[in-house]
Amino acid sequence: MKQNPVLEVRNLSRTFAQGAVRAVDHIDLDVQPGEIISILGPSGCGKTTTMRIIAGLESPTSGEVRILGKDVAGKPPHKRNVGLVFQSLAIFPHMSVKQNVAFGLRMQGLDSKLIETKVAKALELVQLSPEKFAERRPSELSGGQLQRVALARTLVTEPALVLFDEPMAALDRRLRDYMAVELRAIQKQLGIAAVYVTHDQETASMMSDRVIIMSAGKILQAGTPEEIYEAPNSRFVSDFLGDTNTLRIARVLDQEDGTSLVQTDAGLAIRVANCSAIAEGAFVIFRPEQTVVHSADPGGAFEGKVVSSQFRSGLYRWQIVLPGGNTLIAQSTENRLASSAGDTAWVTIDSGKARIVSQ
Amino acid sequence: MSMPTATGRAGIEWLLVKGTTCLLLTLMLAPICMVLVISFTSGETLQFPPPALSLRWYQEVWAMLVGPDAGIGRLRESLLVSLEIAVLTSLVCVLAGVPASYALVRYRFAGKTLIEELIGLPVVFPAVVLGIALLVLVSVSGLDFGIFQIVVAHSIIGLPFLMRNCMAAMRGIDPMLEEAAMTLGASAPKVFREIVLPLASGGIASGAILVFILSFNEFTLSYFLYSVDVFPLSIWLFQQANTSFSPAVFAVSSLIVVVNVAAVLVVDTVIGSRGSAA
Repeated sequence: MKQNPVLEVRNLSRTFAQGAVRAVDHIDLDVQPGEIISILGPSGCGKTTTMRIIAGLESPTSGEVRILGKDVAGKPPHKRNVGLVFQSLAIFPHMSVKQNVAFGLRMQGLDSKLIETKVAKALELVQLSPEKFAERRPSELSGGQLQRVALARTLVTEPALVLFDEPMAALDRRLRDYMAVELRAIQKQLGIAAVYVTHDQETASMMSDRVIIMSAGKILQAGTPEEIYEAPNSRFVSDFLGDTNTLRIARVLDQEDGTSLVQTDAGLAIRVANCSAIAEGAFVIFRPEQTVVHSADPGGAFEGKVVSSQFRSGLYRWQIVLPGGNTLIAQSTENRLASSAGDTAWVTIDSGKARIVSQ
Repeated sequence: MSMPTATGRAGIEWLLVKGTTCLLLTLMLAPICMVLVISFTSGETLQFPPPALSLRWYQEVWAMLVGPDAGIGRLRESLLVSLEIAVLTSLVCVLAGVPASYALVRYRFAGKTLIEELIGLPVVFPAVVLGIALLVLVSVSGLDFGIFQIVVAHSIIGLPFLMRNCMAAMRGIDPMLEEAAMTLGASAPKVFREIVLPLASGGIASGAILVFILSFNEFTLSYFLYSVDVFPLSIWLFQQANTSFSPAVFAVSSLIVVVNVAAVLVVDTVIGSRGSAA
C-alpha cells in the first residue's frame, strides 16, 4: 500500500513587485514519508522562498501546498506542524538550552514532567548530554553545539515535516560533513520527512534521497543524487554539481544506433553514445573523471598541452589546452602524467559517459 | 628629553579636549552643586557660601513630610501626587507605546512614515502651546479630569521617549527568532509575550524610567493643568520659591536631584545587565 505524500506542492508561484520578479515559478514537488529531499540551487534561485511558503511564513501568489493531504492555504505557521531549522539557527538568546528545546512543547501545552523527559531525550538524540548542557546559555555554546540545540528544539515537537534552511552553512567543511552524516542517521532513525534547502551540492548529495535543482524560480531537474550527477539535463545542472567540460557542437558527422560522432566548434570529433536527436547549438558535456590522460599517444586521442596541474585529496588534475583553443579538465586517482606545464599530453573521453544537452 | 612632534601635538589636542570637557561639566553642574551646598546651610537665608553647614533644613523638610504638622505645607501631598502622576504616565506610555513600537518596527502599512514623524513632534513642540491647547480643551469639556489631565499631558511628551527606546530595542531582535517561535507552535500573542517582550524589556524599562523622570520634573504643562487638589511638586517648588525663598526649598530640590540621579543609575544598570546577558 502506498502512503500519501507528507508534502505535495502543486504549481506553486510567488511573484514580487507586481509580478515583475518571479521568485518561485510554477513548482511541483512531493516528499514521501521518511524521505529527505534537497532543494539545491544558487542564492536567489527561489529555494528559500519555496521553503518559507511551505512553513507558512510567506504566502504564495498561486498554487497549492498540501501537508499530509490537507491544503494548508491560509493556515498560520504555528498550526502547520512543520518544523524549520533556520540558517541563523535562531536560538532564543534569553533562554537556556533546556528552555529553548522545551519551547515548542510548552506551546503545545504539555505538562512539565513530560516536557522534562522529552527534552532530555531530544538532547541525547543530538548527543548533547542533558546534565552538562541543559542549563547552559546559548552564548556559552560553540557553533556545532548550537546546531544540535536547534535540531533538538525542532525534532522534539515531532513535526510532520522538517525544513532545513542551510543550517550548516556557517560550519567548516569537516564539521559540516560530520553533521550531515549524523543528521542523515537521525532522520533515518526517526523516519522523518524533510526538505533540505542548500546551495552546497556535496551536503545535498550526502543528505538526500532525492535532489531538486532550482534556478531562477524553476525546477531544472529532479532525481536521486546519482542520477542527476550522471545524467544532468543541462549545462547549468552539470556545472552546479561539479566541474564540467563543455564543448559546443558545430555539426553532427555521423549517427547510427544511438551513437553519434559530433564535431565541436574547435574541430574536435567526439563519439557520444546513447543519444538520439541533437538540436542546433547543443553541447557535449563530460566530467573530468570521465577522461583519461596519456603521456604517449594511445591512438584516437586528442593531443594538447598541459597548462597546469594540481593534486588535492588523492586526486590528480590537469588543465589541458587543445589545438582549437578548448581547455579540458582531466582527473585521475593516479599520477598519470609526470609532466609539467607546457608538455604535450593526450586525452581520451569515455564516450559512454559523455552527454549531449541542448542548453 | 623632548617629546616627538606628533605626540606633542596630540598632547596639546588632548589638553584642549580635556579642558573643554571640564569647562562644560563645570557650567552644567555648578548651579546644581550650589543648590546642594546651600541646602546644607545653618543660616536662615540663601547665603553663598553658607556661614556653616548643618542638616537643619533637612530636618525641617522631614518634619514637613512626616511630622505632626505635615499637612500644612502640602509638601507631602505634592510629592505623592507627583509620584502618582509619574507612575501613571509611565504606565500609560508603556501600554500605548510598546504595541505601537512593535507595529512600527515589524509591519508595513499605509501612513507608517507619517506616524513615525508625528510621534517625534511633541519633542519639538513648544510646551507652552501644548499647555494652552490642553487647558482650552479641558475648559471646553467643562469636566474635571483631576489627576488624569496632567497624566495625559505628560504622556503626550513622554511617549516619544519611551517609543524611541522601545523601537531601538525591538529593531535589535532578529525577526527569525519570532519566526522560529511561530514554527514551534507559538501564536502571534505568544510570540510577543515569550520572545519580543523579554528581549525588548531593557529598552522598555529604560524608556519607562525616562518617562518617569520626565513627568516627575515636568513644570510647563503642569502649570497650566494643576488645580488645588492636584498640586504637583514642581508647582509647589515654584510657589515656594516665589513666596518664601527658605533654604528648605533647596533641601527639597536636592532630594529631587537625588531621586533623578538614582533613576538614571537604575536605567544604566538595567541596560548594562541586559547587554551582558544577551
